Amino acid sequence: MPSLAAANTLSDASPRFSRGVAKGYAVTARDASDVATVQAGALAVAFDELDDFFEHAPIPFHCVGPDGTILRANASELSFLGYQRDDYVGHNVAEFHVDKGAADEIMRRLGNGDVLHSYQARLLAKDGSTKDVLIDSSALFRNGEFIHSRCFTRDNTAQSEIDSRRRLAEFDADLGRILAEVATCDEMLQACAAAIVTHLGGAVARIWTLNDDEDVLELRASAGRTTDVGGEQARIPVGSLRIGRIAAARAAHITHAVVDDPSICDPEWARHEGVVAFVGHPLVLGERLLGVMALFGRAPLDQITLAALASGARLVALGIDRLRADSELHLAHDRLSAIFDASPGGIFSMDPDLRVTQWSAGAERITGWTADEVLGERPRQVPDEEWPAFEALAARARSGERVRGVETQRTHKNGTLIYVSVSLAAINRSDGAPYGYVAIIDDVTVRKLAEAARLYMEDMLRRVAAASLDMNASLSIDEVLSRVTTNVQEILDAQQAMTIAVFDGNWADATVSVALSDRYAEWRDRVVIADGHGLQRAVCEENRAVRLSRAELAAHPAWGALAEGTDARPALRGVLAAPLIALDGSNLGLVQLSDKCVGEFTAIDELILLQMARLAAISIENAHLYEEQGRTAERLARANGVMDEFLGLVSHELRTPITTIYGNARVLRQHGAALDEADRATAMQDIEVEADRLQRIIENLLILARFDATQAIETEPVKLESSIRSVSDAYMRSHPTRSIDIEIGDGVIYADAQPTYLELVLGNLVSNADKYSTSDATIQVKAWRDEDNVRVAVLDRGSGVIPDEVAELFSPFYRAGRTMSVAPGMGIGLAVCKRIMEAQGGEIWAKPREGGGAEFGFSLRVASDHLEAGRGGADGLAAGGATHG
Amino acid sequence: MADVETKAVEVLIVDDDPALSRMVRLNLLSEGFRVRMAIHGADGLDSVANHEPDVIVLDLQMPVMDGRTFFRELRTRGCAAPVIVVSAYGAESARLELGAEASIGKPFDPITLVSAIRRVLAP
Repeated sequence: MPSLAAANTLSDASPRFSRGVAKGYAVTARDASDVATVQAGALAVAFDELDDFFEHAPIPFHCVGPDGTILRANASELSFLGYQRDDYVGHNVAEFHVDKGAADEIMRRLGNGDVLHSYQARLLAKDGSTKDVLIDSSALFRNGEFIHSRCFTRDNTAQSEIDSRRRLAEFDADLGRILAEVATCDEMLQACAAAIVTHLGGAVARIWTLNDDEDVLELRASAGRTTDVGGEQARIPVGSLRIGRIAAARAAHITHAVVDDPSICDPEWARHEGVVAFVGHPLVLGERLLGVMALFGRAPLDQITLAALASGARLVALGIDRLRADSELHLAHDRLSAIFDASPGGIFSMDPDLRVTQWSAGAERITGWTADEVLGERPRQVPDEEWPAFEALAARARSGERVRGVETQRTHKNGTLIYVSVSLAAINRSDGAPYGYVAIIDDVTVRKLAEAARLYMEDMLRRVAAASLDMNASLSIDEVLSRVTTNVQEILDAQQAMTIAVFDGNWADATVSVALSDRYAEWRDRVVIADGHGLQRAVCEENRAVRLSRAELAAHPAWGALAEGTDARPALRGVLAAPLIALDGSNLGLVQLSDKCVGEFTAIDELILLQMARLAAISIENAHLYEEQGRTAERLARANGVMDEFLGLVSHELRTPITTIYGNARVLRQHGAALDEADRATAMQDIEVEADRLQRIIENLLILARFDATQAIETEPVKLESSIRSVSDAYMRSHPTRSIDIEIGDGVIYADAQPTYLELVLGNLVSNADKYSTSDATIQVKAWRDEDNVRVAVLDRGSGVIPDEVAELFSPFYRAGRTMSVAPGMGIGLAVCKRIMEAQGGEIWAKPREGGGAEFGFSLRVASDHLEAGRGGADGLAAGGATHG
Repeated sequence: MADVETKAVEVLIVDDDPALSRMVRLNLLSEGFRVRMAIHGADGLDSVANHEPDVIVLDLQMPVMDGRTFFRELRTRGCAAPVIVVSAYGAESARLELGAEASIGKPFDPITLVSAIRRVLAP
């Protein structure tokens, strides 16, 4: 029991409702009368009882003065909280409230005259624990002055714990609902933060998640006093600040001294917001850190709240993980779907019985079967005969073998054969039971066909190359054509083959080679005519290939008749023809095939034939050039022979007169006196004649060398008769046995000529006539007027001329074969005459003479000054004579 | 040279060029030979058939019958008289070809011909 002295002291200091208050009443009683004393005694008893009642009441009770000082606390209260009286009474009541604002609020409300009923508060016990209490309180006022409060404190911890657990249960339920319902991570986190604030109290709840690089915590949710997820705490490196250290250590951190730790938050903000407590939990799942969840509290956090936060952190971590997994699952699903549908290959899955369960667009594209047609069925592209092999493939996959790129044949819905590459994987459930198969098929038909085509073409190219060598191995056109024909027939597998070489479009001289199989043996010996029929002409004129199937040829409006055989050629059964094209692009003929042994001629056959025709054309052109060259060489050799012969002639013709002259001169000098007169005279004349002959030969050779056809000779009026007679006389003098008859017609006066050359021509013609005439024959020389020309002819009765050889008679060194043995000579005299006449603007001719022999003649223009004189007629000769006599 | 020997020698000239034949004849006569003349191969063969000369001077290019034909026919007929081929062109090659006894190219000095005649007649 407390002493009265103490009570007096107290009552002096604060005479209010307490033991002190009771003492106060006692003093008052002492100041009263005796009656009052008795009454006072009774009162004292009552006070003591009352005092005892309060002191030992089973309900905790305390009084607080207006300044917050605890004036009195009963044993129950001290016991309830565990304090000694001095630890408690006399201290400010706020020290014992866990919630800092609570004491002030209670005092404020009591000060306002409120009566508090079951005011929830948390008191700090001596052992540090928090006592949840319900406070019923009212204030004693005297004269409007607040004297003290009277607070009954009921221990509500059990109830509070129940409440807390309910809150926790609600919190858990709410979190569960959020985790179950909220689809996105940010929404989920924000809802969780809000739930924390709602259910567990506190100023702010925040959640960070670890970024993909796992080095920074990103603020994703903030609820309570601030919902801003920006600011300094938006990105916190792992290991940095308190949040980062919680993440790094994967350990929760709890403190009730927030303002002392600036790494948690800005102390100013904490102070301003009244934040005192902080709890941060790492969000971990197994070993994986997912983020950090934190609650900033305004009051110390009780164990239940902390436990709730800890369990909440696990739930949030689970939620994050689930949503991430969902997201990844979605992504994976989307990716798979995209792959499934976008894959150029076909993808399908099957159940363990090999029934299709999924069927991609690619599979439909490759096989032609739609998903509707195959779902629940066996893959219909696998033909029945291939089914055992397919099952074996599945068994291999089931046994864990890698089945990749197995190439096999499948049937397209439209019935065509396709080549596919199959990859197959077996899928098992987690318990090992078979779930089914996934198959990927790739259409490799094009590649397979290309491969086959490549092999075929390689073989063809080898054969074409060999054929090319073979075709080139001859330089005879006939042989080349024969090789071309047999090669194309063999390579392109045709029953009929024909090559026609046509040079310069001359079909009449076409060279033909034919190769026929035994089926057409009866035509082998027949004469095949390269008639350049329509088809051949089309190929050659347009230099293009023609390819017609049997039916196309038979139905062809122009060439259909070729499908019918004739005696000369067998019927064509389809045709493939390619032109032979020379290097300069001109046509050299064609190669034509018919009756392909198997099937019809294909586009590839056409390409090959075109290629072979190209090669053949080169061979044919080479052979043609070679043969041409041979002919040229022959011509050159002949020309060389002619030249050799000419040299022989020149030698003979020059050396013979020289020998004669020299020999005669010698015999005259040495034996002249001993010779008889006749021999001496003959020798002298021979010298003269041979010298004359020598001179003419040299003149002729010089003219031949000097003149060309374009050269003009300067002419002058020459009295023709004088020239004729002069030449004739000279000739008869040197050839005394030869007689020459001269006949000059009217009007033959002056001709435009060069006198020396004119006489040379006359001399040559006379000499020529002399050479081919018998010794007793007379040579005739005639001249007559023909309009503005004069014509001169030298006529003999020799072997004559053949009209066909006239042109050649005037070629240099030409000597008619049949006259070569008759008369010597070089074959230059007539050529010289022709050149001289042409250079003088005249003509020269040769023709058979009536009655035998030859006529060689020439014409010259009448000299311009004398044109009129000659036209008069009969007296031309006389007039000419008069003029120049 | 002994006159007796030369007097006995008769030369047949087969050449289509009368001026040349006349010149050769005149020179040979002056040297003491006897001379006959033929204007081509056929004419020559007739002459030989009539009387075999001691030596034949033969031109190659002649009308009617050329020198080569004459020579072959001559030998075919068994006439062994030595033949001197005279030609302006290829006389020696013709001699080798035919197997004639001598050749002279035109133009020639008549003395060369005389020497050749004597040489082919030398034992």
